[in-house]
This record gives sequence, structure tokens and C-alpha cells, in this order.
Amino acid sequence: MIRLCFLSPDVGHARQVVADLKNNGIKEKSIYAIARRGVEMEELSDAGPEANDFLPAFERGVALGGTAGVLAGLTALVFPPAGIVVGGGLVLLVGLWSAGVGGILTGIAGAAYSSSRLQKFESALEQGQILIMVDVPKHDVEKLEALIRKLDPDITIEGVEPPAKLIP
Amino acid sequence: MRKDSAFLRNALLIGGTLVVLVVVGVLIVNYVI
Repeated sequence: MIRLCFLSPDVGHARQVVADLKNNGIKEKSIYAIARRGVEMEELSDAGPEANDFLPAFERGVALGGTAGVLAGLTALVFPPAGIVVGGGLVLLVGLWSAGVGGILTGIAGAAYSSSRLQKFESALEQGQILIMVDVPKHDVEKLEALIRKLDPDITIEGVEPPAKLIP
Repeated sequence: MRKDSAFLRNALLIGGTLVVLVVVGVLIVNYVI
């Protein structure tokens, strides 16, 4: 799957594109629309997991926490605390535990912010444009790009990898 | 509808991580004591 991202100038255009995509066999669950607060989206789909920064923050937290934990474990290995025999197993366990704590804390904090994956679209969203993201099969990319351009030939379409799905 | 699935996904991720934390925590305590 490839995720196509493009900015739609207004709600009417966005609605038209989404209807076209649906008519061409794209399921509603593969279409995400994001607009500035206050823009009336009506029947347009919502942002799904991109609505906040939970997942990217969770990933950062796991990486940071895991690294910190393994470093702490290694430090304990070099300078063992009195009375505790520190082995490689403990270093791994502490690393895993810290990764979990880091992931949860950072993820929950990230949930309060808008998705960091969408930062480059922020100014366009502020101007009232609507970001539409569609997950499409790789072999259909060209066909669907042509379909999107049919309504507005000037539109810029970017492709990114969709985030891995925890629940398909 | 979709917001629910995003919420469920985050909840599962947090829940799963908490389970891992408890299990690993017990293992660490076992290891240290």
C-alpha cells in the first residue's frame, strides 16, 4: 500500500474527490481527511490515527526509553551496586522496561498534540485547505493520481508509506 | 466510527505495553532478589 497525500483547496472539491475515489473502489476506511478546526467536514471521513501524535510519539518514546534503559543497565554492569549481581539478562530486562515506560509516557503526552507527520501541511491547513490521504494498492497509484488530477490538474500529490496497522 | 478504531488501537497499545511492563518488572524483581 502507498499513502497518497494531497491538499484540496476547499470542502466542495474535497467532497468531489472523495466521492470519485469511492466510486473507483477505494473503501471509506482507506480515506482520511484533515482540516483546520472549524471547517465543516460533514460526511468527509476523519483523520483516523493521524488525528493526534500518539503513535509517532510512542515510537520515539520506545526508542529513547530503550536506549536510556540499556545505557543504565550497562552502567550498572560496569559499576555494580552493592549486593546485586548484574548480568546481561538484567541489562536487557531494564532496557525493555524503560522502553515500555518511555513509550507510554511519551505517547500519552503526544496524544495532546496534532500529528508530527502532518507538520509540513500545517500552514496550508491554516489557510483552510483540506488534506486528504488515501491508502491505495501500489498497482493502482497511477490510475488514481490521474483521477485526482482530473478535477484539478495543478494539485500536488505526494506519496508516503502509511503507518503500520495494529488493527487491520 | 473510525475515531473509535484509532482509540481502540491506542488503548490496545497502552494495555499491551502495561502487561509487558508488569511481566518484565516481576522478572527484574525476581532477578534482583
